[in-house]
Amino acid sequence: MNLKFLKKSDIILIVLLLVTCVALLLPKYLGNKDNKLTAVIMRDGVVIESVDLSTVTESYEYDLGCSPKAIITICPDCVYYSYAECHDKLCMNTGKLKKAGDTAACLPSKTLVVIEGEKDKDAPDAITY
Amino acid sequence: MTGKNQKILTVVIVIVLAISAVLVTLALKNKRALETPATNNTIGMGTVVVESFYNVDSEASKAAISESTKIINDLDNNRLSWRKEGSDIWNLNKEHSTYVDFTTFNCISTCFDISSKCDGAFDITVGELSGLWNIGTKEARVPSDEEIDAALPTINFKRISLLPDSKGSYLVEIGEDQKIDLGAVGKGLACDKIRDYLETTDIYGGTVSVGGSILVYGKNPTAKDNSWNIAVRDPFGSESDYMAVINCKPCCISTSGDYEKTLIENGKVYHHILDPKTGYPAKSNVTGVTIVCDSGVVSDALSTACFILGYSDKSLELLKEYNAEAIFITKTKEVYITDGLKDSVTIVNEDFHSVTPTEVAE
Repeated sequence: MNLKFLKKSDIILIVLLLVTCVALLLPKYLGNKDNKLTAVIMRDGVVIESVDLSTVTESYEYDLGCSPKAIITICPDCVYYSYAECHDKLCMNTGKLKKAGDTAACLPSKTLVVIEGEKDKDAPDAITY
Repeated sequence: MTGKNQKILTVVIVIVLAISAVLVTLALKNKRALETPATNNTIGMGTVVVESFYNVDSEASKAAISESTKIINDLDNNRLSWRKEGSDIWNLNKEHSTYVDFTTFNCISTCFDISSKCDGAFDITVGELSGLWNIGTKEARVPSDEEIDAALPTINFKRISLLPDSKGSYLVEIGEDQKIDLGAVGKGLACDKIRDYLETTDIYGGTVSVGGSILVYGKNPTAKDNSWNIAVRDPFGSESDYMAVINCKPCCISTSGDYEKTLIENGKVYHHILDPKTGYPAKSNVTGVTIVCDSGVVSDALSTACFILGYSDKSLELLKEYNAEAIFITKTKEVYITDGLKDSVTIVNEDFHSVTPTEVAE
């Protein structure tokens, strides 16, 4: 094939375009590789705290400031209701939230904790109970 | 070739390459955007709501999330809750004869139909009784035998009168002593209403969980065949444990289980699914029933009915009436799956084993 009709500047232009395309796409893919888990804490439907779990080095307690009183514990790899004054303690029984999508709620105090992040590929879309 | 022709050819090639590069980039970006759902967790209808929608435009998904949440809260506050002053059911229980919204009317009508097909195993006139137990609230308690005996005669769906008129108003009448409780079907109705709304949008697909009643909507862009995977909670495990996965197309899925809301008094555990015939939590040969069908109200009602009836000929006949499929889980971890669902269910916890109907023990 005779490529002589392609001038040097044309080739540079093509390469530049290709590089631009790749550069546009790369951040999207790279950004998803480090699967960041964020504990999002809500009260009355409003986000009151959002904690990037990778920045947590030592477990600590967080008072949700709700009534009935409820406290969650935030750890480097999980979050859970550690204390609740509600009648059924369902939130405490939920156990530790570790994976993206895990949710615990305390209905009497209208508080909810969810772990946000990219779900595993084979994780189900929803759970019926 | 002349120099002029060469130049034109070069320009054309460069333009074509540039356009295709841009198109490929956009297509990949769109695919990426489509495969990332917008998800929201919140509290509504006294339970946990999870909405997750796929669309190229994430703003459209977010709008669908806020509209869905509004639908749930509107149903709860204005239509279904017998605890919320001014709702259709609150009015009905107070006046015993009242005009209601078409949505409420339709829901009561479907429940009536299901009650008559299962001989009242499922009955929405249990309001007096469920108000005595109040399981799931802090007022929960075990009523006295006298209280239960007094409540039982008020339960009879046949005393509901549904009176639509030609002017488009919907009158419902119940007995003076009766109370309606739509708690068993409210979550499913929310799923139905959200699906009606989604059909007016360009949302590609998604799932909504209203306290475990699931709406499966549209196409799943992350699966080759666009199908969805819905997990069935392990009745013996914690909240996030599941024992099986249902691979499905758009549908509604509901589960009734004796592990969900409970009351413990004097060391005895009482679950929340009351048997309208005895007035006590249903004694069933199953610990959980999951229903798959095309309506949320029907799947909710059938899961309650089939839990109370247990794994039996009666429940299988009822399921057939509504073209519904089911998974029954017994207390000994045996799993009965109806024929239409067999190929779509994968049991992922090996403690559970699938049993064929010929092995049914009464």
